[in-house]
Amino acid sequence: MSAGVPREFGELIARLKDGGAINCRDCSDFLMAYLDKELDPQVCARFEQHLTRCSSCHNYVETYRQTVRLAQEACCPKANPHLGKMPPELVAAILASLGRAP
Amino acid sequence: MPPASPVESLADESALLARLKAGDPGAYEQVVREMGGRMLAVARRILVDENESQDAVQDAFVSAFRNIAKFEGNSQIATWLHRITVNACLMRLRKKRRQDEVSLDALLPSFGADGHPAHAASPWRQSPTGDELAETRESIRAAIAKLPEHYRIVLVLRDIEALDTAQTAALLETTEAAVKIRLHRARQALRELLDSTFRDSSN
Repeated sequence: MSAGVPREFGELIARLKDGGAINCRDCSDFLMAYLDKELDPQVCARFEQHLTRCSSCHNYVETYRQTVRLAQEACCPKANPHLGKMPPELVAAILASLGRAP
Repeated sequence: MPPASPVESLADESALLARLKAGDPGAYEQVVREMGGRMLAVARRILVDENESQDAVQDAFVSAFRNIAKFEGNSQIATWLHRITVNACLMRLRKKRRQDEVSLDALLPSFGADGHPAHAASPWRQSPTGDELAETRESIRAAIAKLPEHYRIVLVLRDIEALDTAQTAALLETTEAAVKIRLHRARQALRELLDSTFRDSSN
């Protein structure tokens, strides 16, 4: 077993041209490029074909998307006003240091 | 002194900028009070440590106001301050003694020689609402904080602070390709950390 190390597109494209298929490791490695629409159209079509047939990769793509959304929501200032509360002593410290600034 | 009205329009913005450039102490105070909270939130996301975050925000405001003459008003004051705050945070990260890089391998998916995953991915349940929501968000922030710094910082700058790949690469003094690889790995690792919480047990 090897951890998913991102590889160059060229390797994947060459393998697909040789009649090889996209596998789950390819899906994991090139997932961000797929979501960013950076995949060659032919590779993209094969990628999507794999997703319709492989429930694990389909779930992986969906949960990867959810991860990004959940992280954004968890850190969103509007949803977490307490995260952006300015302690009065910090306001005072900044104004004081400005007063001392040359 | 009555509280200053918040900056709501471009006219307000340019009037405020003119007052800042003129050295009006009331304008400085208005900016610190109105925008300080947002900048502190940015610093907390990047640095996590509360004292470091407050110090970085102080550094950022002092640096911004000392250099106000150089600000040409090409962006909003808040956008300009955001960039200075991110820089102040990154400078603090660089000054800290470099910790041993934690390996991310255990949090990345693994595959057999045939390209099949060691563990099949399951769908996740919908995000909770109501009382459970705040607790869930706290656990997500804790999971982000667990990521090795090298990866966490890229995830925060790209996915949370919404900087683009080129901006992130420039700030971190690395290549765009390295930013993309680190972002993808950080998201994969965060997904793994959240998997046990969100996996839909009904499937």
